[in-house]
Amino acid sequence: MIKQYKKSILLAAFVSVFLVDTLIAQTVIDSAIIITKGSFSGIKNIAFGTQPAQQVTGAISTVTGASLEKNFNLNLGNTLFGRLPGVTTTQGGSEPGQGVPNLYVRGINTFGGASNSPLYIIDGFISNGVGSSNTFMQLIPEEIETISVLKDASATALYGARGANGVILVTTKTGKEGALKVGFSSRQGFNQAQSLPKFLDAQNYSILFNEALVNDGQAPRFTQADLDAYRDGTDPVFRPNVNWYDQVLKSTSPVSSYNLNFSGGDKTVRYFGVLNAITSQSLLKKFGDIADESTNSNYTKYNFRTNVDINITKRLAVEFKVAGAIEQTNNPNAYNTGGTFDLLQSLAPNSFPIINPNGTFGGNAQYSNPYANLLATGFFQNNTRTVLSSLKLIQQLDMITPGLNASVAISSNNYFEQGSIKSKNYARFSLTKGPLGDTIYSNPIGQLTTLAGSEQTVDQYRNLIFQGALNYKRTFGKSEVTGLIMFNNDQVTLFGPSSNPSNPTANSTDPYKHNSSAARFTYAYDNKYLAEFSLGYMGSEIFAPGNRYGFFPAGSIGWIASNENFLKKSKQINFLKFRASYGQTGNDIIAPQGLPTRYAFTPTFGGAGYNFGTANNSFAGFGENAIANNNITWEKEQHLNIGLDATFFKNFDISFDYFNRNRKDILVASNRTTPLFLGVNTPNLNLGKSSTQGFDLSLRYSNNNKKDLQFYIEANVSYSKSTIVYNAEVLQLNPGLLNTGLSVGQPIGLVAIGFYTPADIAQRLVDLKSVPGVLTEVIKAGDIKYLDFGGPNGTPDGIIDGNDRRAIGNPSIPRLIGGLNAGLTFKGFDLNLIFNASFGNTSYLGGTVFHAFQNNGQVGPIALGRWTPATAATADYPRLSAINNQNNYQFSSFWQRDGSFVKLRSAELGYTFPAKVTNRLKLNSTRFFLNGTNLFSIDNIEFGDPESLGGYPVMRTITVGFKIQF
Amino acid sequence: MKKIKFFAPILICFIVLGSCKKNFLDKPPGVDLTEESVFKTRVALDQFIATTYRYSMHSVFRYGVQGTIPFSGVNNTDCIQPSTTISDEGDASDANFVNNNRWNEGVIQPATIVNHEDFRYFIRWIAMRQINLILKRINEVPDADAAYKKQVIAEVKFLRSMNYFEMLKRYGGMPIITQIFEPGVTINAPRNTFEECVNFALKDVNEALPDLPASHPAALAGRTTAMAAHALKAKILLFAASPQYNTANPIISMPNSSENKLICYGNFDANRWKLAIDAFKAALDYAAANGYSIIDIPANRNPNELNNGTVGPLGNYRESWENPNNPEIILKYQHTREAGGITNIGSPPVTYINASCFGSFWSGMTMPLNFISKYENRVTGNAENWTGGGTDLIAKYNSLDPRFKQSVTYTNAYHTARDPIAQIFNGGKDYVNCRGGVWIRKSIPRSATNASFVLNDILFRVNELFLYYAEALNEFNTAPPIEAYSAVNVIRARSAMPNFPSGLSKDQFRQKLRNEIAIELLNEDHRFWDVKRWLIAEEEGVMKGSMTGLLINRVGTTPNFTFTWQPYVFETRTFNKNMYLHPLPLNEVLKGNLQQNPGW
Repeated sequence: MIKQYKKSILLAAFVSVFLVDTLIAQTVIDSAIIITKGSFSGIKNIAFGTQPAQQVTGAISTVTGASLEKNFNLNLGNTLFGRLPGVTTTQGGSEPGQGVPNLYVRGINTFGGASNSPLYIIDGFISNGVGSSNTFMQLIPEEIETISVLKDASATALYGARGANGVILVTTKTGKEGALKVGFSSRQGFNQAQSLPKFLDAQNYSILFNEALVNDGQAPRFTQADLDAYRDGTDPVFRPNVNWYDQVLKSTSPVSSYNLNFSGGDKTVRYFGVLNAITSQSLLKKFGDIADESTNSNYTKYNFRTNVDINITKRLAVEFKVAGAIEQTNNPNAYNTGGTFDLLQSLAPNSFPIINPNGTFGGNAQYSNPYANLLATGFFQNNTRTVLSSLKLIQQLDMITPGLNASVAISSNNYFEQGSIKSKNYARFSLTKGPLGDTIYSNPIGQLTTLAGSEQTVDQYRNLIFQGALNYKRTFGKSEVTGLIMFNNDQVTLFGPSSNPSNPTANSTDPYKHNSSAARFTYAYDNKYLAEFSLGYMGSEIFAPGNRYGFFPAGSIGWIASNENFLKKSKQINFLKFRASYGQTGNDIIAPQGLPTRYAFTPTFGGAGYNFGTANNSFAGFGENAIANNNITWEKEQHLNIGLDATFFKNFDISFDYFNRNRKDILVASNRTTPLFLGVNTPNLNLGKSSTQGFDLSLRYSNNNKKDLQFYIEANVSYSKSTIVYNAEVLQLNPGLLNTGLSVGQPIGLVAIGFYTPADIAQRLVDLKSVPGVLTEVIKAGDIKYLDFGGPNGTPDGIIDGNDRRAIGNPSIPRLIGGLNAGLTFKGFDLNLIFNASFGNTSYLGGTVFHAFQNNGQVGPIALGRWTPATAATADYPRLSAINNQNNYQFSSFWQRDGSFVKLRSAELGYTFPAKVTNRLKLNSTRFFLNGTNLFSIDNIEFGDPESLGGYPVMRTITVGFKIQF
Repeated sequence: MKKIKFFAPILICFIVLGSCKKNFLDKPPGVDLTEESVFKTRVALDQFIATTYRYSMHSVFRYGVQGTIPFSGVNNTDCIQPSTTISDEGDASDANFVNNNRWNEGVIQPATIVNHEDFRYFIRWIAMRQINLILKRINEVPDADAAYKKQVIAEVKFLRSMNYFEMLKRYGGMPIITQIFEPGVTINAPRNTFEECVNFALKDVNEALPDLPASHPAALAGRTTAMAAHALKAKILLFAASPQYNTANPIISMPNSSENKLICYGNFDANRWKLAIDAFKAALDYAAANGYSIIDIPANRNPNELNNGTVGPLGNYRESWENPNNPEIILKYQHTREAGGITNIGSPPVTYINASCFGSFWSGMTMPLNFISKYENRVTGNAENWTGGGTDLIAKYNSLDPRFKQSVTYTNAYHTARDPIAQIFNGGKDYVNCRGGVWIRKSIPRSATNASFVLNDILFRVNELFLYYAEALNEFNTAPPIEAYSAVNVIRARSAMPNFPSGLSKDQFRQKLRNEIAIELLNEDHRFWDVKRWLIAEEEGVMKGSMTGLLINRVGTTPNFTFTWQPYVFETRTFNKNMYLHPLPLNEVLKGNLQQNPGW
């Protein structure tokens, strides 16, 4: 279904008014779209250094910060959709300050408890945090020069045991020699939900609920008079019809951002600085305007950065960077809106009135009142502070030998998340109608309290990193040689949810430490033949002494065929490079970070005792809980990459990579294969294996020949398929229960084969097992029928249970992703579009949004196609049931849908004033723009967005703004 | 000079970085408990011993200790009842959800054996590992004296022996594990033969005997004694001599008949009964010399059960299981009794054996007529006739062996203060699901309430020594010797039952003794194993065929009610020959180390 953006016309009117207003005060522009000549020129960022793009032999995708500015979002992750071939970005909700996407490089090639996140490196130093506390997510495009994704072993080997999931390398902007340049931009706009779940109103709810009761063999609850009253709204007290979403959410919420940046410098000092502010309200209504003790839900983020480069002497340079992000989130009722949306998705429209006739809050014993929750339970404020700082000294050592330099660096990153709560409770009352039609109030449910405050440390981490390096670069005739030897030492202390949420103990704040060295040697002959060898040597303290250090070698070769004489003069082929790489990398986050899995090489003891004495008194115990695995080690991945880069007809670029990743030593449970007469909980062993194959392809066509019209179009497609090769799982006679051979993340559930017919039910009365069914529920006609694959012994047993599960559908992470990025400039106008597509992933319709009346929940329009005796032939939803049905709502293929989609992630239309206009105003450039994100989605899911079927919705954001430079 | 000045700090940094961090990656000092801490002090060792007992001790009432024990692989509601409801002793009143009933339906499977009977399969191996660890390292404990160390070694050897005995009963020969497996070592431990396992268990218990005390101070009661070792040794030899194992050919052959020695001796040797006789004799002698005896106060042999809602006098038989500390008990599983603990009328394990009509919320256990009819006439000592029904059930009950009324809650009986007169008749509240006609109450004291009490969960007791001694004597000799008569008559006399008639043939004596063993040792996890060891489980009415109950109707008017009774078949049970031995757990067999038992 195509979701039309209905308000666009209205918006256009609004924008034009705004533009006119602004024009009076301001004037315009900067270079609107970067239409470069090709992807294979300039300098690329690689691990701990840079390389001429032509000579890169690894698999690296890059996007510039300037390009990401086109995609306005509250966190950096959400700007990456469709930008980087090989990177899967999965959208969660987009709650301000909470919702961040997950990023995966070339699929997920591990399973179990191991981390599948890429390593984030900011200006050469590792970054920490997960989810919204991830430092990377807090950066803003305006401070970023480029984001490079290092995909193959050759590119990541220097990161040793951390590189196997890919590396996302951020390089921030630095000052350039020249006069002071100041840029200022601002944008104003609004968010709205891209899609919200739909539910039936009170009348339809009641009709279906009656039907469900009858199906369950109970009497209907609602009379015709009730139904009429729901329809007419004549009895809002006893027969309310409340759209709770409308009561709690507004349709749009304002968002704005301001950015000031300046840069410049001379031969001695160069500087870049940025100040940025983003404010966004959430979709919750302004409850703080209604009651003092509540708060408006809003989010603000301030970013700053100062990067200074100083040449102290001719040979000694200093790079000093300090940056930070300060976030503040205010919310009524809770730190986030998860609980509110859970309630909204469950609460029936006729549950109770918002406000009772006597002014008290409505409610019932099971459900609180979402309106009152936000109005009368106080507020939660969340502050986070992130500080990134680094100092680097670079000493040229050309007095020893030309081309040699040495550097040392220190970096310290801190994150602190502080919660501040003032909360209270309220009383709610349920109503019953008295014999005389009077209103009888229940005893209060909940109790009115006064605001009580509390301060909490929610999360924090800190890291300290030292680096030293020797760099060598020299050209001997036709040979270019570079060398790098470096040393890195870091320690990261986690404290809080990412470490141990509830119970920090003496061991939980032990820092995670790494010691590593790395070396790289590159050789290029005549700019035709390229060779590179990298070696990482890394030690990590989470392994046993003797098993801490490992080598991670990788090599790559390249051939720039277009520099050979036979192609040099070709007009068709302007650039052609073949490259191949092979190497080993590792992943040392083999289990969730935190105490229980902290030191797998130490055994654990504890446990209960026994009772002795004539009165059976208990005696303390002390037993062996699990033995240690001294041999525990990191995951190892062999990564083969074969690629080519080419430019045809000057304007057509193509880049293709095939990859094959084989990972081993994945940590899996071992008691699956170890005989139990071992007599102890066995440690997990490095036995698992997985493999991923796929390709990344990007094509780009740009036309910058004509002066007035310039355009480019860039498309990328990435495919990856991950398979569990071995996971030492428990042996089964029933092969369908085995995970080996399936995709990583493959859902396993029952296979739905339609609905039981009345004939099926009659046959079941004769012989229960002749028509297979569950034993946990009395099956009726119209219930979902499942395929009886097998019992514990692998043969069908007439019983539907866990033994009948099979691989159903596809993982939720798409196999095939694509992006389409197009831009054009015409005279002063520019247009930029970013599409993002995802294919082959499965969405699951679960929870109260789709499962009618479950957990006393409500019912959505999906249930209108329910099975009834009359509609048996056309029904696409099981018979309704008012109880928690143990048959219909099991995890099964019935509730799976194709989650593929194509989305317009971002569109920007801009106008840059001609230079002669701006020059008169002493401005370098002035540009106005209109920007929209998540404008539409083409997908197969009728009742929502495949990426966010419930919870805080994905935001569609429309902004207008300007950018001036002087 | 200037160059050097700026270069110097860089050099220094390198040196600092390179040198200071020699142990940079070492784990900081922590607060971990390790194997080393176990053997540092006697206090820690004693705690380790407590946990070892927790994992080693078997119990009659298998119930939810599983949840606190690693990888038991069992749900809290599996294995909730004693083996009573698997044999003709009893029947689970809520048959559908009590896993024991799967035995009666004949649907035991290798995949679920752990859930259906042997929930200690995994736990037992934990116990073995801890025992082996103590044996390996106990000498390192600095503050334990030599005598104590010897005693602990003897205790854990007893526990190891007992665990092998429990495995022999279920599976036949199993791997003999005496080592501590280290990670990374390939484990290849195939099943040992039945004979090797018997010898291993005997070796352990023989080595333990000299170093074990006859008893412990009251505060340490529950730790094992030389008396228990004598009893265990005799029981091992009894099973080894029994028809199921003491034979050339097992009841079903292994697929490869050369492997039959895994599940039986592979030959018959009458002398195995002699070894059992000697062991029982030694055990009884040791008991007499060390204060263990059966309870026999002449006045309490035939207590007058009042049936009027008041607690009657305490019979000898009832005292032997109702009194938590009596000289008849040799070793028991020590259930907790703290407030909020597990043992009261509404908590496990009592709640799994006390019927819901009596204040619990799970299944009770009823006794089928198959077993009721084993109770002889208290005067003649002959079997009672239960065919055809009758008009006065109370009179019928009055004629039975006094142990009947002490063992079950029958119509009009006193159950507990909550239920002083059991309403077991058609329409009575206590007749719901009471398919046998009486509720088994043995092990639930009449004083039981919602307050905690000590439950006697007895593993070894003196009365069984007499009975099994008599069995061994009869089996070894061509006709029952006088010692066999006197042994069994000790047990009958204390419950006012007439002596066995003299001059019984070997077979007659065997039949009568098996009846006596069944009655005397009701609900203490004997019958299920005995009928298999005797190879009679497949006989009609034992573990196979019709199970009969009593239809009870109340007639007359208050206060002169009478109760009519009529037998009816309430269940037909299935027993397949492969069920003489448990299947080995499927997961373990699939790992390729263990040879599955025949027929599974």
